[in-house]
Amino acid sequence: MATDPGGSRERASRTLGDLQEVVPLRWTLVAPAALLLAFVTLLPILYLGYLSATDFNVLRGMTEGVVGVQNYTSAVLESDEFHNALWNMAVFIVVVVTVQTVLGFLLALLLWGRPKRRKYVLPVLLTPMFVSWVAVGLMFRFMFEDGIGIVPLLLSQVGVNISWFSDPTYALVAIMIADIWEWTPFMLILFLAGLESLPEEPHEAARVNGASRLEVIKDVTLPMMFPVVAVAVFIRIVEASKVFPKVLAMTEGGPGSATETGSWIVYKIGFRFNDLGVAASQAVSLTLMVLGLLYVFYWSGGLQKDVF
Amino acid sequence: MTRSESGDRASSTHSEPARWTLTGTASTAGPSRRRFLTAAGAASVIGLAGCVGGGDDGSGSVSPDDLDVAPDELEVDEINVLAEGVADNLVLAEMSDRFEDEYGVTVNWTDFGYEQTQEEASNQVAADESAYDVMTIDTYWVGDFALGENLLPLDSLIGGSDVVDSDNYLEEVWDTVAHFEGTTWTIPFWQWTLGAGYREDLLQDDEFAAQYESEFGEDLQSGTESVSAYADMTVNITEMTGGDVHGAALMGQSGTKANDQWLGLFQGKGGTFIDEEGNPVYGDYRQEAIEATEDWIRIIHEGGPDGSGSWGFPEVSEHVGRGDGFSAINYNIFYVNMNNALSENTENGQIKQYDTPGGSPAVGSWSLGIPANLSEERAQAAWTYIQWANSFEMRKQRILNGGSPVCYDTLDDDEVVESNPLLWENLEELITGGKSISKYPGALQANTRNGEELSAALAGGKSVEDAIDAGIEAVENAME
Repeated sequence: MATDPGGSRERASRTLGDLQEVVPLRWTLVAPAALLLAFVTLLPILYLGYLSATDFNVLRGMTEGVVGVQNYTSAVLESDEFHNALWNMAVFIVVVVTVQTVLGFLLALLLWGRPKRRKYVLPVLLTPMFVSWVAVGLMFRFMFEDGIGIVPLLLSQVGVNISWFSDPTYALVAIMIADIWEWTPFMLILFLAGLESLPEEPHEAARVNGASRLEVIKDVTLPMMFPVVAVAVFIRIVEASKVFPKVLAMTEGGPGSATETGSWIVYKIGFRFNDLGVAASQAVSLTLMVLGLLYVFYWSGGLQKDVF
Repeated sequence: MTRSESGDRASSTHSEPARWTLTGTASTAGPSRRRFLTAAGAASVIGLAGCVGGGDDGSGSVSPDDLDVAPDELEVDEINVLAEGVADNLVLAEMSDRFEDEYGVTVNWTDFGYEQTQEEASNQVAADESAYDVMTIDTYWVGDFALGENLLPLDSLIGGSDVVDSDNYLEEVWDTVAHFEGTTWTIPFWQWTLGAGYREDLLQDDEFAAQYESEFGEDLQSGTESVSAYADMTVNITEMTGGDVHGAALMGQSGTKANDQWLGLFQGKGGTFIDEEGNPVYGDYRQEAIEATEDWIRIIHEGGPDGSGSWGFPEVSEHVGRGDGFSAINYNIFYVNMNNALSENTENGQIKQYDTPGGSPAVGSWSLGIPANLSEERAQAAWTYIQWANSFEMRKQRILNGGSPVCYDTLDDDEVVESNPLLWENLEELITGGKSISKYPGALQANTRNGEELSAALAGGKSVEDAIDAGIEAVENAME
C-alpha cells in the first residue's frame, strides 16, 4: 500500500496554521515562561493584597478573619501617622533627589571627556555607593551625635550648636545628608555614561557658532541628556521612597514621629507590633502610590517611549 | 556549650512537631486553649513526674540528682535558647557549660539585638514548631504571647518543682512578667526596673553640699521625694556647676526609652495606665501626665546635657560614667557598668541606687519561657534547663558575674549584697513600691506610641497637652 507522508505533513501544517490563527506561535512559545514569571511576581503581591484585607496578627492569628477595607480606612485614609509618614517621605524625596541630580550632573560634567581625571577620581567618588546601607546609617549617626560626633563639634567651633537628633527638622536633614552622600555617585555614573555617549558634532557646531561653554551645556547637552536624566530621577524617586535602613540606624523614626517614613511604619506595625494585616494595607497603598507616580511620570513625558 | 553567631538561626534537630496533650502523647492536631492549659499538667504527670523531688530548699546546686532527671532521661541532644545579647543573658550562656557537663545536652545560645529577638520570638512561636526550646521573654511581650497561647503554661510544672518557688520572686517582678490572667507563662530571669541613681561621692562631699545649700537654700538630697523637687534639684545642680556636672541624664529617645523613664515620673505623680482590674484609666490621669511631662522636659532641657533629647541608655551610661552627670533614671542593670566607668574616670565616683522621685518606678523584667509548639521531649528538656538556671546557686552566680537579682533569697544573701551594695541594698525597697510596666496585651505598642508622643512634645513638635491626649488615645487603642 502506498504511503502518503506528504499528505500527512500537509494536514499537520494546515492544522498548525489554523491553530496559529487562534493562538500565534510566539505566544505559545512564550507562555510557560510568562506564566512562571507571573506566578513568582504576582503571587507575593496577591498574597499581600489578601493579608491587607484581614486582621492577621503574628501572635494571635486572625480574630475576625477578612475585614474588607477596614485596614485601608483606619490605617491609611484616616491615619495621621500614615499621612505624616507620607509627608516626611515626600519632603525627603524632593530634597534628596533634587540635590543628588544637581550634584551628580555637576560632578559628571567635571569628569566628562577627561579620562585621566576620571581614572583617579571616579573610584573615590563611587565608594559611598558600595558601603552597606546600615553601615552608612550608623556612620552618619555617630558623625551627627551630640557629644561624640564630629559634625556638632566642628559646628560648635563656629558658634553653631545643633542637637541633630533632638530636633524634628535637623533629624530629617541628617538622614537626607546621609542619603545624598550615598547615592549621588549613582547619579554621577549614570550621567557620566550618558554624557560620554553623546555625539560630539552638535557640541562642536554650537561652539563654532560662538556659543559659550554654559550655552552649549544648557542648549545642547541638557536637552540631549533629558532621557538619561529622566530615567535616573525616576529610579532615585522609587528608591528614595523606600528609605528605611537609615531611619532604623539613625533615628528610629524620632524625635516623635518626625522621621517616620512609609517603609518605617510598615516595619514598625508589621514586625514590632505584629499587626501584619494593617502593615500589609499600608504596604499595598505605598506600592500603588509609587505605581501611580510611574504612570504620571510616563504620561507626562518624563519617561518617553524611546527611553525604554 | 556553643553559642551561634549573632544572626544565626538555631537549627532544629528534634522530633516531629507536636503539642502536648492531656494524655501526654504528642499530637499534631491543631492547638486549643484547653489543650494548652492542660499541657503543663500532662507534662508534670507524664514527663516530669517526680522529676524535681530531690531538691532541698532550693538553695543548692541543681544537679541531675537534685532534679531527679537523669541525664539519659533527656531525650534531646541539644537545647536552643533565644536571647537578647545583653549582660545577664551572656552570663548564663557562659555558665551553661555546667549544664552540658551534668546532662550531656548541648546548649546553643543565639543572641540578637532587642528588636530582632522580638521578631524572631514572634515568628518562632507562630511557626509549626519553634527552632528554640527556651526563649527569653520581655515584659512587654507577655500579654500578647499569653493571649495568643504561644507559650506553655507553667503552673503545674511549678507546682511540682522544688526549685522554682513563685513566693521567692519579688512580687512585683513576678506580677509584671510571669503571671497573666490567672496563668503563669514564664519564670522571671532578670529585671530592668528603672531606679534613680545618684552620685554618692558628690552627695557625701561636704563642700559640694554646702555650696548647693548656700546657693539654693535647701539640702542636697538623694531619693528626692517628689518629681517636681527632683526636677528643681537637677536644674539647680547644672546651674551651680556651670554645666560641668549635669543634674540629670535622662533618655529622650522616641518610643519605649522615653516612655519607660517617664512612667516612673508619671506614677510618682500618682498616675497609672491601668487600674487594679486591668482596665485602661490613663485618661483619668491626664493632669498627672501633663505635669510629669512638663517636669520631664524641664529636667532634660534645663538639667540635662545638650542632645539628651535623643539619648537612649548607652548615651546616658556613657555620660554618667564619664563623671559628667549627678543623677540618672535608668534601667538598674546599667548602673553596674556606670560604676565601673566612674571608677576609671574619676577619683571616687560612685553611683548609688535610690527610689525614683515619687516612689513608684516602672518595673520591668525578662523571663524564660517555653514555646507551646514543642514536642514533649523538647519541652521537658527546656523545663529542666529553666529549673537548673533558676536554682539558688545559678541565680547567685549570675548576679556575682554581673546579673541582676529577681528573688528575695538572693537579696538576703550577704555575699550578693556585698558584691554591689550601692545597687542591691535598696533594690527590694525600690521594686516594692513600683508598678508593672506592661500588665496588659498590646503593651509594646501602647508604650511605644506613648513614647513617640512624649518625644514629639520634648522636641517641640507638639504641645504637652496635645501629646498627652494623643498618647491617651494611642494607649487605649492599643489595649483594645
